[in-house]
Amino acid sequence: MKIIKRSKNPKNKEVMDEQQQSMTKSEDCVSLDLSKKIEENYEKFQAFLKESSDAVFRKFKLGRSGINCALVYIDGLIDKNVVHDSILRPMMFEISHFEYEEDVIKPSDAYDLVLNHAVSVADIKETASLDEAMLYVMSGEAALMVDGFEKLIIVSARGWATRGISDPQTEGVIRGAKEGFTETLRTNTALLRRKCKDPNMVIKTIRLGRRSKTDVAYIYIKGITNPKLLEEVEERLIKIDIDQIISSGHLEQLIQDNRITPIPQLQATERPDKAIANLMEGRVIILVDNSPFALTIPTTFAQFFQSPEDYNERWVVASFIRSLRWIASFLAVFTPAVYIAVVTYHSGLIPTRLALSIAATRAGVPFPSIIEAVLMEITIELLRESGARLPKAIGQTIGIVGGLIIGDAAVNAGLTSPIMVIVVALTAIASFVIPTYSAAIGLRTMRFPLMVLAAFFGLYGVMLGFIIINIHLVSIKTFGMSFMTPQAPTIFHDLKDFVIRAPARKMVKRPVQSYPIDMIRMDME
Amino acid sequence: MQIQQKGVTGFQVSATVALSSIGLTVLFVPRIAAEHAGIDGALAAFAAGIFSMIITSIIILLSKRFPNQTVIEYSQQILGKYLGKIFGAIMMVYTLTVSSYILRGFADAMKILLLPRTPLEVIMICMLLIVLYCVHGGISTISKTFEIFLLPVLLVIGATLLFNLSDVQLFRFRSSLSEGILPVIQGASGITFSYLGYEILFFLLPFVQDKQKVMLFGIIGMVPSIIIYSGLTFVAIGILDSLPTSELMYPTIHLARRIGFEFIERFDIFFIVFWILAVFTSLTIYLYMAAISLTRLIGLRNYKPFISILLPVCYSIAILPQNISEIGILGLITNYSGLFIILNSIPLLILSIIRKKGGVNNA
Repeated sequence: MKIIKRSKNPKNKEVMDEQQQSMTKSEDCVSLDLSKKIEENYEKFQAFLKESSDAVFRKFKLGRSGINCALVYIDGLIDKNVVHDSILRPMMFEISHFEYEEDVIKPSDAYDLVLNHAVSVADIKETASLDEAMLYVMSGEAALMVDGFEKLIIVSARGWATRGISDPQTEGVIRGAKEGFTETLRTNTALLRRKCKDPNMVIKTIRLGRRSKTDVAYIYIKGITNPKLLEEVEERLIKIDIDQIISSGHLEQLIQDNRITPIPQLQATERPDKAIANLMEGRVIILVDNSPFALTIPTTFAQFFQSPEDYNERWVVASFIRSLRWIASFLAVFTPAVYIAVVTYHSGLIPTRLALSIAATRAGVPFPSIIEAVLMEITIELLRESGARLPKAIGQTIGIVGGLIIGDAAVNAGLTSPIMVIVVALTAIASFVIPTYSAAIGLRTMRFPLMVLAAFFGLYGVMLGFIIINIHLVSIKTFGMSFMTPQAPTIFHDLKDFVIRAPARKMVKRPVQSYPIDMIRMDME
Repeated sequence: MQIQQKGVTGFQVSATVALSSIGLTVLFVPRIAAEHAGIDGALAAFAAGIFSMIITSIIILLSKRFPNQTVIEYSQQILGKYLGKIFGAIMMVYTLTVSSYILRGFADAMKILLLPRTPLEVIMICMLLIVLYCVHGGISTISKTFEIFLLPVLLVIGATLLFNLSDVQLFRFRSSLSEGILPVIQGASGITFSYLGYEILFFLLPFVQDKQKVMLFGIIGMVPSIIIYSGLTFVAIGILDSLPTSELMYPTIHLARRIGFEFIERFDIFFIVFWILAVFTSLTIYLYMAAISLTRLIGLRNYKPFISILLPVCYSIAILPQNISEIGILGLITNYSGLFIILNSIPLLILSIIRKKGGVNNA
């Protein structure tokens, strides 16, 4: 295995050189070329893997011929039935059918015989490089050695414990598919294939991470996706030079454009139907092995407000719900700030009686409204975070304790006014209306600076915050596209699928925003 | 990689022109109109709007002869190097002064109407910082921001217009045009300043995607301000009569104050809050123009470092006037230099045709 270490810091480099020297001293240097002798190849594998308890080495003889063979695999990543029934048994016993006719197998035929007549597995690769073979072994395939040959046979016998396909946890829908992506890349690609049988749907895979060698698949539909977009995606993926890709969320941060922002610039989705819909709009989907979230490239801000459900319901209902989500996003960001501003500076804005009753409930509260608001907002964020971390059974209890008891007790204790509890609850509920979790949480963080602005400048401060947020959102570019499309720049065609969702029969063309090559989605004839 | 086409779209041109010309003045445009034309204020405002529209089209015609240059460069081509540079320098000083004037007018209005105890300086500095952020993003950020702000600004002003329309008493207009058309035209000349802001078209063309349709979108961009200004004047005079209108400091706020809903007791606060957007947009555009004029005058391309130099200057000019009358003087200076600038588009166009500079054949 190659040990690749790169560093730009010269100090680091010295340390690493030392380390490398000490390593080469203590362990034998292994040449990566394969030899004809099986013993040597076997030892090369052992040099790497003998310390690992999950590595399995098996030496055996081919039929009656006495030709040495060996098998190397990692226990737990492999389907043992395949190894036993399709590799070992045919090679050890069933191969001897050939031996009755021509006596014993000649050593020169052994390799071909094994490849063509013994190993009864469909997915087979040959390799002449130890480096490559090692990668296959580590990703769950079996390496088969035959004495006298410089090649290895890699038998695909992958089979490890996986989580079954289950309901997407973060993006539930009422009417719609109930399956979500899992941690296994292959299962995920299969989920996509099942939804789109077009052979033009291309699933390309590259390995990222110097050490983790994580499979990263990028998927697109030839003939819809803009080649320029694809080029850019490929370029950005290839540029990544890191030891490990932790998850798709990690990858997202490595390829996004704007780094200083709470707003995600790629949509992460657990739903295969969402991913397919995005593919059909000419976008590129990235799947990362070990991560049940697919990334959508490019993503616009408006997409965070879309849910597959919108397309399953009648357009009137869908439009209503979608506009509700936009209103909710405003509520989630601005309600506490506006409350502070109105209570502190502009009580004339609201009806006099309401203003009076707010003032009455606030009479016993010892803090200015900003302290009150920050206190309560932090409490609710704590509740939310603890709810996400706690086991499900306790989570509900905590919800009741936190929500009902703390809320009520805080009011009774005179720490906060009932109106503030309403405001905080409203923000919390509103922020969960937004279908994309990471966008919702990004938006939610914005309300704290807004609250401070409101405390200083009243509604002027809220407006300043609104302007800043808008400038920021508008200035974000994601993969050569404006993040706020179709609002800014206004693309009138795409407004069909923005706050209002047009009737299905009216959405004849794909959205312009991702610049697909093929625009026509539906033939109205 | 750029998948999306670069540059300013047609709709963005309209939005930019519309929001640049609305801005600060919307608060007191009925007063100006009533001062200059009395009962015929609305008509005069409309006439001034039409005049501004004509100037707009002249500016676009002129700019289209030099599609890849801003006024700073092509004025040097048309007028010669020195005269052109002088014109550019006037442009720079003018835009900077206007931004100071807007900033000061804004801060005063905020202090009077919304935040009586907040110091002027704080209001101004906060606004300038945000403008700095926006201008720093370049014309694409500016135009996209404008696009988003167009709707709320138009909605809130439109609501003020609509909800007051039913209270307009038409008998107040009985003596309209009693002295013929002449006072209207005279009054219109005084209102023309209110529409200023479309000077951005002197600068915008090099960044526009579809240069052929700029004329259309530029003229469309003038429509909202014409409707709003003449409409507000009409409503204000129709409700308050011309004399009280001309004496109110912010007649539009007075109109907004008359509206009340169940849940928003005072619509005027609501109005002011959204009007901040309008002021922000016009301030941004003037500072952008100032920055780009200064940069191009020196002969550089990247204007971004210069904004930070211009901001303190803008602030200093804005903080300078001590009282209302001094602000009025600042306003007069900006108005007349603005008139000078926009009227210069006519000789510039004629000269460019005579001297055969620019255009399709002579580019």
